[in-house]
Amino acid sequence: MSIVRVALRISAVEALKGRTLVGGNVLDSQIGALDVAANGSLHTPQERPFISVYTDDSKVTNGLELRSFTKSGHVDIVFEAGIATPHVVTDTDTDESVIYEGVPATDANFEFHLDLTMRQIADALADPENEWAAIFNGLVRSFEQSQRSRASGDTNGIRLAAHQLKLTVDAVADPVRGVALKDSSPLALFFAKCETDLVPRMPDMARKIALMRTQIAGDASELQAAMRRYGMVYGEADAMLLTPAFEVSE
Amino acid sequence: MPVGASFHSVRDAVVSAVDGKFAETIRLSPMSGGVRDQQRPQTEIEAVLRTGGEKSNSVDPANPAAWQSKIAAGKALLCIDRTRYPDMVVRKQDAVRALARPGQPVFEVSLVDDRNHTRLIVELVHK
Repeated sequence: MSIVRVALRISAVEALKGRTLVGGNVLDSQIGALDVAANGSLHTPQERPFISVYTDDSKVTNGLELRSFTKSGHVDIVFEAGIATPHVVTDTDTDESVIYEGVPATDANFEFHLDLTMRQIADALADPENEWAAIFNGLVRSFEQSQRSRASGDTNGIRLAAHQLKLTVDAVADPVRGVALKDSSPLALFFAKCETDLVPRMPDMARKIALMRTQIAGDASELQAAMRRYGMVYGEADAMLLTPAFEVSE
Repeated sequence: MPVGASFHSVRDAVVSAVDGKFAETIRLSPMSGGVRDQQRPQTEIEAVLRTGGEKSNSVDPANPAAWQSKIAAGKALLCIDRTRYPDMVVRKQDAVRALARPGQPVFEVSLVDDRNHTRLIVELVHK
């Protein structure tokens, strides 16, 4: 469900930062077009080769029970790496362009850059010393599918190439509202890591964590938790003999 | 040299008059394999540079639904008077810098139409 998607996305983004050829230019759910200034000397670190991370389609194909909507099911996590002619560094005198020092901005080198970046994504996510990757992997029960695709062109005002890695993962379910998170649960570890790593440098993160915590906060009884987990109305819980016998109230 | 035709003097006069009003200073930096071409020197010319409005495009225009990332760019054309620069050779991936524009934007040649009899039509991408 949603909170796990947020956690998957943020932990994937943080797991990649500084561990690939794009450095810190790992974007979370970038919507608008990436634009590059005409004046090369004004280029920001974002106007460089990039990786964008998205949590895309998801599908729960079994175990939905009655209305187990907290299940995450199979979630597509999309990593897109791109490089275009305006992203390279151009010498103001010679106009020679390099992706990085010693590597000219040719078609073959664009492809090289993307292939290596994709390899680095895979390595970053499987790095045992990468704490964010450990959190990401903790949210995944199994990796179901990995797909790669590529695109390139020079007919729309830039020469660009892009690679996409789509991982279909079987993600853990969102916690049921009102059931306390265990300290060792993947989501509790995610919240703790956000508080130590991200809150100091991302002003909005504290508020977002508070909103997510509020969404799952509360003190549900066992019956309430079970009804919420399976999305049962009282009559259905009663028919399943989950309600207290002889109408004994709690 | 091409064989002359009766309309050529009129053609040349028109091209020259248009360029006199609309041409700007362009620095052409020939490239070969991503580095400076040793055979063709860097030159400054006066030519007409037309840049279209930028718009957002998917990184894969052929299959935009499969991709999330978009990038902004606009098409650009450089038109070089062949009478004024008869020996000019422009090749794919040469660099073109618009020296007269703010920020001196630089472009890369994506294709050259050298069959047109008035001008070399050079299609550019942002660089």
